[in-house]
Amino acid sequence: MTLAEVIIRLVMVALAIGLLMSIAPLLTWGERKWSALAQDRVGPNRAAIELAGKSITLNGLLYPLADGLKMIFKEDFMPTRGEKFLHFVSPWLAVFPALAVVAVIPLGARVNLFGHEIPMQVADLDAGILYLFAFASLSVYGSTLAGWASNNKYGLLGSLRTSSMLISYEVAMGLTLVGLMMTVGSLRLSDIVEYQQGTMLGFLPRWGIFMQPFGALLFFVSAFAETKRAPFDLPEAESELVAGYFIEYSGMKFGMFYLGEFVEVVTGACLFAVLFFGGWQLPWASSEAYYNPLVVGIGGFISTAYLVFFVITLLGLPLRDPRIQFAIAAGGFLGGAGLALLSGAEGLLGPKGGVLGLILSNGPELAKLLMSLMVFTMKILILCWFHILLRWTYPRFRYDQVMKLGWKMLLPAALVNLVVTGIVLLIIR
Amino acid sequence: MPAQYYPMLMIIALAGLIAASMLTLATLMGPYRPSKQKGEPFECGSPSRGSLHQRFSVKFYIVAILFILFDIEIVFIYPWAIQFMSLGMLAFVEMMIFIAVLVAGLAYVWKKGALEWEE
Repeated sequence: MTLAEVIIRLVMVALAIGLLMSIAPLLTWGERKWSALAQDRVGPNRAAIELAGKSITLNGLLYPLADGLKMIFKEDFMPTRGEKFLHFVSPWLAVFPALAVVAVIPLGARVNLFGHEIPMQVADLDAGILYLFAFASLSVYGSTLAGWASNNKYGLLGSLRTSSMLISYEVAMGLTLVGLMMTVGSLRLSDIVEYQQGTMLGFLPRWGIFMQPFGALLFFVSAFAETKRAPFDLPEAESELVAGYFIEYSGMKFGMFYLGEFVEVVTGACLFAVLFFGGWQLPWASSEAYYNPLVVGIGGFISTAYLVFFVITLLGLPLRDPRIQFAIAAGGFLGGAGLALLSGAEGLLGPKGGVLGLILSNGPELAKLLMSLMVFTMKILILCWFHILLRWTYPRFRYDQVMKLGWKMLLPAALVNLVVTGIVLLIIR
Repeated sequence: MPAQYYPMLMIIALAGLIAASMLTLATLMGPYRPSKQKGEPFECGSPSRGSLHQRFSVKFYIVAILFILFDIEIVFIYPWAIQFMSLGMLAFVEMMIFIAVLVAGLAYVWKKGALEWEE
């Protein structure tokens, strides 16, 4: 690899990890706010920074920061009779694979900027899905060893439940994707995203969820179970097992299990967006549409307006206020106009020299890059929100129900999905 | 090793480093004041009785064994699924036979009650 390539890859690594590490703490806050909404409370709103005599709370957004600081300075507890080494490393085993999974996920379109080809993906492996499964299943070790090593009955029960639940749903998860693999014919995630451009049957976007609706549902359920969150939170069921596998953990080590869970939610959302919601593709459009200034303008309007709306809801500002509505519309308009200008300016003005010319000639690619990143982020945020919504909608399963769902429903249903997909593909071929 | 794997090593290293630095921070920054009571297993206040390493249900082992069987069978399906469009009818029939064997295994396990948890 040349030096430029190494730098591009390093920036991509930082971007991918940065995306996870910024959305996951936000989600810890979002979950608490959403639980407050579900239970008719105000939710966290006290953590504040004193600045020039005023206390700034930012609608509770400082909580992830306050929690992190608190956890770092808490006592790091070690059970006297537990397995010391395993107790020490299992939080590492819970966080590390969850972070490393993001390597193969395409965050945006592949572009050609300033003479360098930039894939918005850390590593474009031809066995991408296999890599995902390999690392996703590594996180089983973290929670299983944590409970086993902490010399506690609740912990042991929690870790037994975790290990058998997670491996059961892994079987179902592996089988649900076979239908998609047959349709696309590749394990490479960038190929899967490329395949999902344009329309099918004349009116539907050619997304995985429309090609494999049943497979998408099954995959969503099993990927949800893999995150160990309610209604699948049997391993840590607080009304039965107190805290389950991390009962003997305190401070930052507990925080690592907590963070790992939210990172898994984000990577699950990334994966679902890539496999079934077209990744960075616009609905109904081919990936060439990113070079059309009109499409980029409209798409830029929608996605910038959505991101402004997202920030405004984060800050808890009233959406009924006409000034706020104006701010959303203005933000969307500015974003859309800016991107359309970036994309189409060279076509209007003709080639120019100097720095301006360099920017203008790379404009369409730059607009494509920004636009595809925003579209993908938008999809992830919506899916994460859906995750939290489900978590506060459904009560916890009983353990026999969870195992029954995994082995007696998801597994046979995935097999049926595979056979039906095969027959349909053979007929329409 | 092909060049496509190098960036993957970078992200693995960075992820490992971030997790390790969190672990080290946890160990270095907090106080450490162990005591006899604190070191006891936490069981909601009542003193812990009996050994931790007691027997637990054999169901968990059975699930693990079934997982290995079915997961390997699923991995056998992947290469076929990738090449499905170019292989055609014959390969489809062959895979249906393979899946029939898999379903027979599942039906056997089901019938034997290995998937039952309530009793």
